[in-house]
Amino acid sequence: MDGKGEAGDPARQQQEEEEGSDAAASTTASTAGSKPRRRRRAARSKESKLENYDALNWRIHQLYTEQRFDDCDKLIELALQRSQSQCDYALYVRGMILKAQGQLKEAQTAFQEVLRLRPTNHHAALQIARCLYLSGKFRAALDVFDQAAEIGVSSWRVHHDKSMCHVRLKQYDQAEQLLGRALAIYNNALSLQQLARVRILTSDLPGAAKAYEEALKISPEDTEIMTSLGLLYLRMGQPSRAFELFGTCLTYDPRDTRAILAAASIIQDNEDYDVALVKYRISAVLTPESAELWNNIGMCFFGKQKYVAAIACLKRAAYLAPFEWMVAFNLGLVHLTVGQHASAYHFFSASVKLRPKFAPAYGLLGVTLHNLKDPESADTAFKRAIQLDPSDPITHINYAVMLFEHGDIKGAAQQFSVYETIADNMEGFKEEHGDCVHTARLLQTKLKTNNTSTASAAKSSTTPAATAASSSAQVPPVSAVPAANGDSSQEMLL
Amino acid sequence: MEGVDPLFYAHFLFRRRRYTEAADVCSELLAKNPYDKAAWYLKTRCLTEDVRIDETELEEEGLAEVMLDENAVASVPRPGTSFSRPLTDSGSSRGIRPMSKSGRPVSGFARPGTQGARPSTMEAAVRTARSATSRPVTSASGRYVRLGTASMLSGDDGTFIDVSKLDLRKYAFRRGLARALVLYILHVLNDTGKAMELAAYATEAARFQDWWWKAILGFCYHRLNLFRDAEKQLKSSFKQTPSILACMLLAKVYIRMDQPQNAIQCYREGLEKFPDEPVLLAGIARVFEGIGDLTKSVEEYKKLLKVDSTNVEAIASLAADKFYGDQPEIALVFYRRLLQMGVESAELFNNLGLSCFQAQQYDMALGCFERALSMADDEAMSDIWYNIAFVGMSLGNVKLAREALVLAVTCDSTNGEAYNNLGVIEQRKGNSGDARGHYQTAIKVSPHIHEPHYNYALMSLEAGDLQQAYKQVNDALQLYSAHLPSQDLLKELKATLSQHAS
Repeated sequence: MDGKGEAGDPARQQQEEEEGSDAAASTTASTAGSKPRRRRRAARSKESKLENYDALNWRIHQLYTEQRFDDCDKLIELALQRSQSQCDYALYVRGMILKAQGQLKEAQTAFQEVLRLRPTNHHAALQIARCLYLSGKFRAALDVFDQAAEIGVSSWRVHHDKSMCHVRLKQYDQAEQLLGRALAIYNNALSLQQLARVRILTSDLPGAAKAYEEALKISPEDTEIMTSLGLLYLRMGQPSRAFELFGTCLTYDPRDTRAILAAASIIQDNEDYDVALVKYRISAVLTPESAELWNNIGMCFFGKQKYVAAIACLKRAAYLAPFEWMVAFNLGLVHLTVGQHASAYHFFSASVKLRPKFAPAYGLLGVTLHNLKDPESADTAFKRAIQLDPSDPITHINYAVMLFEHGDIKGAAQQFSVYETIADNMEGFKEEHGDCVHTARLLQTKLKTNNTSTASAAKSSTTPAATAASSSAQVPPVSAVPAANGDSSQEMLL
Repeated sequence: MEGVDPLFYAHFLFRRRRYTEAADVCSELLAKNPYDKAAWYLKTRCLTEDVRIDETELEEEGLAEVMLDENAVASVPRPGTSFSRPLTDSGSSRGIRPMSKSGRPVSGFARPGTQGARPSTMEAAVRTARSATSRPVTSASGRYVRLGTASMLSGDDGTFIDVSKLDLRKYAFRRGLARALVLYILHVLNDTGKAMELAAYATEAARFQDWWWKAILGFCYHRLNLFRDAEKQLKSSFKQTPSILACMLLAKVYIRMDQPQNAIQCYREGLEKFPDEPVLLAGIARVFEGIGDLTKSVEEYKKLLKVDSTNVEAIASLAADKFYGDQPEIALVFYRRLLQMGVESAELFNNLGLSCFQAQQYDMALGCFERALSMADDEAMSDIWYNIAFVGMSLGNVKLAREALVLAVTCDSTNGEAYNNLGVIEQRKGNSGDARGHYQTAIKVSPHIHEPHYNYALMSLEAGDLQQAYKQVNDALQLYSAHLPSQDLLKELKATLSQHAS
């Protein structure tokens, strides 16, 4: 995006204007000439009588495009001194440098200076709008863009930037329209990416994927697009396509931590824990403070049934990101599996408090409370879980087991039938959750025998039936002391 | 005590460290016979021992010494070769182990000199660490003079010895008397110039063959900040007769000259002559800690603990290392050991509570925190509330966390970490205005932590203010250049800022 061509534009335009305004410049130059020696020489050579303000412009442009900002700034200083601040190209580049260095207010002043010198310079006007956009004044920026459009400036870039402002103002329809216009003028990856982002915000995932695919066609080696698209496919439940993308991404940049994490989590989902761990090892060197990484490593160990290591890794994740509900949930799960119910209770309750809408946490909280011999609270927890997500068979079967063990045969049978209907309708559930089916069969036989004679309380096995469902790695939002959010595998337990 | 020989009685008192009483007995003897050398000698020793402190180990450098230091060879030393530029990538990372106010990893044991690392700017030097008293302006005029005047006041008959009237050259030949005298001049009168004069005469008198006088001469040079001369004297002393005194002093000189590697070398040489000497082992460990090499420091502390199993410093340092190294159970064992040894302080209970919590012994943890709160002063109290807030956060009890953090900043309004976390909690609730205020306060009161900068940058980015975001993320990276999220953020910001409109 470093616009050699784009930055070159003003220079060219500059020269065109130069020819027109030669006469005007000559008068100022002769009065401004402060160095007598120079004047003498100018007098000697006939072809260059005037001080050319733009003599240094080529060099300024060169230095700017080479990103040698310090040298460039010195040269600009010189150019401005010679021309007594009349060289608008130098001012323009100064504004660009200031903008690139994040000094937006100063940059804006510089561009305004350019406009004062040359009110027709629409580049400066657009840069002012951009500065306004970058410093969070979206409406003001839109106004300037509109003004620019009135005087007939129209390019894909204007539409693109305007759409960015609309996104910030949460006017997604307008944003999408404008992006469409930008793309009609110039089909470019940047606008396509932006379009995808807007579509994600309006939860049009297939549309977003389409936009990313288009963008990838234009710039096929952009790892950023690849990872974003991969994560999108992961969200849409197409892990194989996502994995392919992450693989390609890693061939271009083997140290892309987001891609490593996402690819490894897919591998982990396929229960190939050792390979996943190898991938995580690469990532652990690069991002030792990433909570999602430690969380995933912990769940890898859990999958390998190395519980102590799992707890250590998850603890580290919890230390790094105390607000992360998923880490707490996973910790609860591991503790429940090793039979430390009191600890498991604390972790599940933490998870539930941090994210009250996650049904499986309530379900497992119910299992924990049941194991802690608190049937009433367990009952409440199960009911809450079912209320939040009535279509989760695991919650129903766990609830049935609990009811059965407390002698509520009728309730147990009812829950069991609910489980049966959901599990039968859910494609592939029974294949994936072998343990769950096993428990169900046990419970079924117990229920049958119970109808005839009140037999001894059934002890249904509560072995973990594990599947990892991983969410996608995201750019970390707000962090606690050090924190991050994102990729973690949560596991279900029966 | 009728019938007992007064001089014997004075000796008896001296050995029992009842120095004032012993000195009184000697004074009586001297009143009877002013030329009683034995009484004179004993009184000198009494007065000296009363105020003497062991100066071989610890030293708090004064502000003037640190800022106007002309002994450091390189102004921008390579990492690991200077105390002012600790190793950054060794030991645990900043994300795991928190920093003290001077910008180095929290150590397990607070002692003078560890709190104030060598600051790079005057501003940083004037700022005081939360868990240390303010830095003396210079060490030369600070402690010594204060102690000196105090001791003179306690003298019953004004000054006991008027050094300016003594013929030091004569005393230099009386070996026993001279030694007592030089210590008296050094510690009671604090007249380093005179002491050095006497030491110089005495070395000469001993034909430059006496290691003790050389060491004292080196000590005097050290006090006068003439480190090169001190080094020469101490080296010669150690070469002639190896002694722990000379070794410790030499290492101290190297530390003052900011040459940690030489100091370590010196301790190692000392350890060859005196294997398993705890003082020397502790010295090495401290130097390693000073240059930020925590892994090696922990190794040395382990050696020290093997030799001296009740060394509080070693136990506390190892416990801190285990705690931050994901082994809270082992840290708990170490802290329990400290408790058994009779150490009782708010800090210890606080650490116990935190270790218990990490080891999931929730019932114990809260009890420990309660104990800690009951015996804490304001600064420690603030840290304890901060930890309770962390416990609250980990248990998902945001309300408790918030309350505790508010208490933490009430106890100590310069607790930047607490402000930062308050900001995070407010931001989670959606109060960006409050959150911004908290981050700004955190940045102002604790300029050494990078988290508020990063959080502030994220918040500004969300609000669309890229200028602020850019500035903050740069600040964060200046404080902690290896912070990956900040690096990513900066990359993103740069890309956005340098896009052109065409």
